[in-house]
Amino acid sequence: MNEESRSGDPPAHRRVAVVGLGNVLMGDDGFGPFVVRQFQARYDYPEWVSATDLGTPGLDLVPFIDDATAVIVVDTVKLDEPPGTLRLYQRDQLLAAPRGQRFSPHDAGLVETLQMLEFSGGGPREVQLVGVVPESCAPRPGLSASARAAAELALEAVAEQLRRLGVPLNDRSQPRDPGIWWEQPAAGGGRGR
Amino acid sequence: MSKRIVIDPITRIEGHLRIDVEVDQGAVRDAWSSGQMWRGIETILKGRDPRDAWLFTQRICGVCTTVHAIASVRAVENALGIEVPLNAQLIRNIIIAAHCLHDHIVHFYQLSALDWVDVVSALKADPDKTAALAESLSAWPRNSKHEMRAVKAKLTEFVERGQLGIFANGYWGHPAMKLPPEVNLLAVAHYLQALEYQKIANQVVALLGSKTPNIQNLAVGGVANAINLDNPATLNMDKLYKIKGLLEQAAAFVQQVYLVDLAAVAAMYADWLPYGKGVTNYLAVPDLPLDRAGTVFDLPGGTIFDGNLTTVREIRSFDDPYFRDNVSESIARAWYDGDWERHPWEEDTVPRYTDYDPDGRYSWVKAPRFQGKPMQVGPLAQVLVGYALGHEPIKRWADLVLDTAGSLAKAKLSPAALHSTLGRHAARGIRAAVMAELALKHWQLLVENIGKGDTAIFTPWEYPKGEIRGFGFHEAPRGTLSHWIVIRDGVIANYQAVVPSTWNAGPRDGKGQKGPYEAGLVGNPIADAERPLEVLRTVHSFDPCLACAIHTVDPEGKELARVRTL
Repeated sequence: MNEESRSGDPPAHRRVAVVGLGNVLMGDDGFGPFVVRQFQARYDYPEWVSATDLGTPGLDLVPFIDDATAVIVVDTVKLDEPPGTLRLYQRDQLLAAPRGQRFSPHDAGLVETLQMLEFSGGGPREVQLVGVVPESCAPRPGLSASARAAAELALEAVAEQLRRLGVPLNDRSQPRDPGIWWEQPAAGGGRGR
Repeated sequence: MSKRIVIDPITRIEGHLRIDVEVDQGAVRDAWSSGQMWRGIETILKGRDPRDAWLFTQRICGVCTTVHAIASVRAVENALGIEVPLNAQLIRNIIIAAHCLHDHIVHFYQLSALDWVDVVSALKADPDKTAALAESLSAWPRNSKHEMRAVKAKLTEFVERGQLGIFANGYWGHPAMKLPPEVNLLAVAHYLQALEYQKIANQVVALLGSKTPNIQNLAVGGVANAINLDNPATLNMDKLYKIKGLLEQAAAFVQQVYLVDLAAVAAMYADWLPYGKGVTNYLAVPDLPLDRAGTVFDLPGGTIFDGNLTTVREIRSFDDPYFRDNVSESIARAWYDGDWERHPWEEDTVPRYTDYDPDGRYSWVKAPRFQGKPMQVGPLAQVLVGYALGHEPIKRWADLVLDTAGSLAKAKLSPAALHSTLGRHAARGIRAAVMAELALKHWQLLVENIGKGDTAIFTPWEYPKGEIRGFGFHEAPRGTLSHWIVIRDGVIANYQAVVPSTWNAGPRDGKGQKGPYEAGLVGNPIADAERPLEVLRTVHSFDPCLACAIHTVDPEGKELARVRTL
């Protein structure tokens, strides 16, 4: 249940942001949070890189990316391709996608946040989206086999992008527990600490 | 001849909120609100440890994470019959207030102002006149000529590049857009400033919650914020003063910008005051507890029926049977197995999808009822309940907004004007002003309590054998949120979340009574059936939050929403 606490620090030191987006209660939609937690567990990375499982933040994404020079997003993508397919998208490709009518704060997603930051004169210059085509987003926590297989590739893709950005990335001598709490089986009761 | 308009945002994998309106002679004659997605939180939580429920429930919805976490720990604490330390209440209260400021600011500027503000018209504005107008309305230092010229230049450059980007999907030039160019430019300037101040408010949530979205400092029984004023790793004086500074900045924006803009928009759209009333039964729960047990509150809650403020009845505690015993949900018109209206503890959630049938079942949202009646929830409900009970800060800020809007519109505005689409916006601003004041008050109370030497943050407890039941409520930015839990031998046996948008967006019930969105849309004018801006105005005024679950980027740019006229 431990989440990355460095993301609560003031944003001044952060230059590269890795964010996992998606709903962990909805099957493969939890892909982004899953991959980012695996990344945190496996790699040692400098203070100026942040890695955060953000769930489905809507505009709450802003403070995590507005002062970053580069952002790597891991998310699901809606494509007519077999489940488990991974795709890499750049900022301009995302911004070119036409937008529809917005009903609620949730519809303000990654693209709308980038557009808003663009209008306000800030935001990251470089954005990479590592996206997987989901197999099932039914309301039940846990990844399908195809998404689980793609997660390893996505992790490598994130690492490769970071190295390209000049981020020194080392395997942790002692890998941490990624803390995928939503995949833990129901364990039953206990007492308050 | 009547026409059916369907607004069906095909966001992500499944759609979320679908609105059907029947239009006859330029006005909405009937309306249906449909939630297009099933959320199975109950199924996910059954059999789990109640201590973990808040972690799961705050993932129901990516924007409303904090509020589900708060309601969940309160529900388990209520079932266990435990009181949390005063510091824990106050820390939670500051988080609640700061989150509310962030959420209300974003709602008005980023999510709904563009229903009223024509960005393209702002290109015609004289920035110097805009500054003069703004300075006549408010002492806000960032309304200068220099600021307005810079915003106009930025907007012009943006449009000249041939793309409106974030503003691309607005109904620009719509006949229902009425603000003069200068007011539109002022709104665009404040849209940009709001991005900064919502972030400032949210920094408070991150500082106390260690992260937002998805705070991590809660526990059933208290909070995990160790208090030691001299320790850099804990909640200390340094952090507390940083929090105070942030709250003061957010408060200034709300009081000098948000409230003034609301009054101006309401005055210039005074022709809209008769629209959007809908259900005038109101429900709000009390919040910001001042004691350990949750029997004294700084924000009032209660019910009002038939729009009559003299019917107000207060909800007085976290354990008040008036709330506990009167909530039910109907599935008569929703896609679940059965045909009942039940108390949340007695509910089950067995999905059974049949086709969309406006005369039968047409939504995944259940229809919550209070004493069998549909209720409108949200800031308007809390402001009216507070006004009726004579709550001093609510009355003071509400009167200020009504007087300011009234003097600009050259009309006398009474609280009765608040039963409307514009009234919901005004109430959200009034509530934000009250919250800004109370956030600082609760900061002071926390500092004083710590100053007395109290550093307690957690009450130890144990699960009893057998079955216990609890409920926890929280007056969230979108209104009354309640979580209901049945615990058997320390394990979750049943869990239901009755969320604000369920109250407001729910379908008809077994008696055919419409939900608040549906009733609020009836009678709205429709100038152009192909561009039903007026429908969006009323739906947005409720601050909908249904798209809570799925988050998938659509990089191919497929159609994300559509308006169909049948």
